[in-house]
Amino acid sequence: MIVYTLKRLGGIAMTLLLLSIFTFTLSRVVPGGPWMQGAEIPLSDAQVAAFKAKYGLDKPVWQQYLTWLGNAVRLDFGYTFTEPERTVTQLIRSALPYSALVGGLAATLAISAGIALGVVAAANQDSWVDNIVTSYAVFISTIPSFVLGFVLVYFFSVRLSWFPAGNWGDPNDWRDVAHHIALPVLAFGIPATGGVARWTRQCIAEAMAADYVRTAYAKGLQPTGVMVRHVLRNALIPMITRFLPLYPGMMTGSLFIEQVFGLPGLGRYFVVSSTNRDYPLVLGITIFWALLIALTYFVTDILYGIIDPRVRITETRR
Amino acid sequence: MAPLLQVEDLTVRFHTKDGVVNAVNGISYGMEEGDILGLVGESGSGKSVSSMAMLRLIPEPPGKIERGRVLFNGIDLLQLKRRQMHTVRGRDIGVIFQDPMTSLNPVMPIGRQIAESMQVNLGLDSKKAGRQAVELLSRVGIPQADQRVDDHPHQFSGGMRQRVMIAIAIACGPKLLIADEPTTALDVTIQAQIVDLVRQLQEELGMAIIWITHDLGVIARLAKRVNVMYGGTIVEMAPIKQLFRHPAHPYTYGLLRSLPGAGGASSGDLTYIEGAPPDMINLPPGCPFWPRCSFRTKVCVEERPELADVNEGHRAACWHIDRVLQTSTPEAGEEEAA
Amino acid sequence: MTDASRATTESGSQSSAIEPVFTPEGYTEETQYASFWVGAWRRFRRNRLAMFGLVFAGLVILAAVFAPILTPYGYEQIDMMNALQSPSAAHPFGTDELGRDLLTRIVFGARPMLLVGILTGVAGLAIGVPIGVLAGYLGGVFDWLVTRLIDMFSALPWYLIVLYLVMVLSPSLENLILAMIITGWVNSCRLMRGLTFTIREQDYIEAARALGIPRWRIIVFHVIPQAAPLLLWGFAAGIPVAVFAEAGLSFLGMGVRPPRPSWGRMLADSGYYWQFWPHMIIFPALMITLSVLAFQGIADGLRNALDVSENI
Repeated sequence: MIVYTLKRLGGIAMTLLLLSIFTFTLSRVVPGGPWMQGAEIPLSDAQVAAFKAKYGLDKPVWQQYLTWLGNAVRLDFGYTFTEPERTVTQLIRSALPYSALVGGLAATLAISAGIALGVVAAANQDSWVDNIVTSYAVFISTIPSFVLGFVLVYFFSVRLSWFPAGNWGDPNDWRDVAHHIALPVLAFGIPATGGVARWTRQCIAEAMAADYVRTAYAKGLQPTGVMVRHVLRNALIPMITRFLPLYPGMMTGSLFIEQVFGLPGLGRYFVVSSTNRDYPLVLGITIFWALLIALTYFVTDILYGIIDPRVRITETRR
Repeated sequence: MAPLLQVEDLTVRFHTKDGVVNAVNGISYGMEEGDILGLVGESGSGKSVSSMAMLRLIPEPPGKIERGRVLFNGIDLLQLKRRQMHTVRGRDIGVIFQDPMTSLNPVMPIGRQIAESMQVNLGLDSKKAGRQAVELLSRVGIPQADQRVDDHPHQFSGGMRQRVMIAIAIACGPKLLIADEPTTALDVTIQAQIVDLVRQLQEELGMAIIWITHDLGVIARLAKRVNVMYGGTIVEMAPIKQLFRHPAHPYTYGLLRSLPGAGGASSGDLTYIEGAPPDMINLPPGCPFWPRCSFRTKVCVEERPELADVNEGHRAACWHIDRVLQTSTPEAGEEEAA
Repeated sequence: MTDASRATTESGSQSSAIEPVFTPEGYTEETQYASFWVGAWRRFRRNRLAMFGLVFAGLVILAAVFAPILTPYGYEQIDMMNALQSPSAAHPFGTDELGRDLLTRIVFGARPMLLVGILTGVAGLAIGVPIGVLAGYLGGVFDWLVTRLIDMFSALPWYLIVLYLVMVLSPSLENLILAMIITGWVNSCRLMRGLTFTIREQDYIEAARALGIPRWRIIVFHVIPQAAPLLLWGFAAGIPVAVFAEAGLSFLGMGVRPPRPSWGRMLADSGYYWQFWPHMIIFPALMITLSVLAFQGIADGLRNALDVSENI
């Protein structure tokens, strides 16, 4: 178990290392820098040189990288260019809750609604109920979240004025916040229900068609008993492995929604920092996200090993 | 003694998008208590479907039991409501399936799977059922049963898993055991062990057995009587010795001849039955075997033969029983063909 | 046809030889089986969504190719007098804030989308398949390297990597395609590598080796053809992803440079206007959704028809 964990963590570290090298090198190698984007008053050469010297950008690339790496390992990602007062870590910490909340709620919505639909479809396989659910799932998953965002805003904000069209609201008033993020969460979560519903249906249907279900009936079990004791337990395994990664996925993928609704999340900063060539911030966010995702997969695998006796990581016997 | 099981004109069809599959076409037979019946046939002959249909384990769409009666202890199983079937399954009739790896729930300890049957059918509480499960495990020959009762199916070998399945099947002391190709997926040596185990259990418990297989060798060890199926019908039924010595149906005859080492093997070539299994969607009229039969005549193509008496307890569905018997038992000649 | 006379010999020897076997007229033993691809096409045809997808995609492709001929206006044709018009006879889809005909812009907007989708798919295959096969077949250090690369590109959601690349390289359609290719080849590579592992173990490959067939021949003539259905499906499955990517990135302003039209871009540009002139958002949104639906339908239909599964 320990060995497995260490190996996995080692793999994650290696991947992050490679990713950081890739991102870093790319940002340095491509011409241009933070002083050029949208500059209304072009900086003089002296000013550019001073800027470079201050941030160590005049040193050779590999040296810059090692400096960065040395700091990064201590979780010091430096200062951002966009808001020179703040460190990258501070910025990430302040922006993270917004993305996490919207992404997390959207993922929860997608999973709960999707599973409910999927169960209904699987329980009524090949009936008109199944067809409707599957058609809905296929259709809804093809609508990009930002498109749906526009549609929702049009109907519920402009036309009906039920919800505000953007922004975060007053952070101290949770009701106001909820009012503001209702549409973003819906726009982000609803398309995802499609995929969840389809996968749920497939997992349950497969479990229902398994031979051991036939054995259960042959033993004299009633359909309810078969469903609960045999089908669901087996169907849950592949479902969890697919659905858990939705959380980091949606927490890191909320940038389109943040753009549409003007939410100050990490995605927004990622877009902005990439445009402005804010290297420290970009690197910081990239590594943070990659780490989050990798850890989630790691946790998922451990969970999988716990639930599925066939994949026990710790071997108790033989 | 009233027969334990009486099947009358059982017909099962599957309505698929490629057409209607005539899986079982009007079969009838009976069994007494303690009988050991072998059900022989190739894939698609309807042997599994007919047995599963008895327990109503056929998926109802697309399958449908079109007609027939299955009298178990005098009660027609096909007329029972769904809920009532649950009392028959497991308690009166037990089943062993072909592939024990997929037929056992991979995430549930085997002890619980065995106990489940007793809890549901006999109303035992989990503790008592658990203890019984351990006993059953050792009865079917699993060593260290008390330790292994919490293991999962993947921790067992193929033969052991099949023993677990047997334990599940006999847990409630059924009167009838249906074994659907239980040894097909196992090594030959393990096959023998399982067959011996079943025979031993049958002697101890006195239950009737329907043993479904395509392997004549296994039948020889175990069965008292044999039904041979082809194309969804029973083409021959006989006591086992009769079947092997005096097959009256061309298919049976062909099967026996195709066994390696069965007389005439000196030429070194294996004999086989020409042709391919029938298309169950478009069954030709007449005898289902005629495209592959070397005895066929015009009447075989046009009219389907019914089961006709050959001898005591021996019947065959063929228009040319006498010719077949002559070929299969040349010494006996006319006497047997009477 | 006719029964020969029954001659039952007393000695009972091989009497089966005496009766000629009866065969009715017109009876043949053979059953016709369709080839794999024909069968797959039939299954595909039965899938209504897939067929819709095929038709719709075909129309879109045709429209994109023949755009200049089909559209009465130019996509940059500004006409401030007629700005922000709702759909009418002269402008079936209305006009945008600069008076440009929306229908024309929609039709031309199909081009970047298709370019991204198809080029990404083709290049992804061209790069990913050989690397994947070699990694799977040769193993060793090369495989280790490839796996590390795959891991690296899988560490982040693909759209983040694409976004970053486009920004760093400066936004344009060409760079978008480049970025998509850089992240896209990984998928074909991974699929191909996994498949190669499976195929490599099969008996007929061993037989080929035993016959002395050189490795490259085995790869080209045995491994790759068996991978064809999976690769076809992989290619098809990448297109809706690319459509979504182009729409999304153009929406963020990272795609085609104006005034070239792109549906995602049009969606973003309509930001101020669509509340009062909904036609500006309805048509791009509809086209994006339908296109993703169509290509996704094709991909799903292929998956069912070819009976491929991701978990090789």
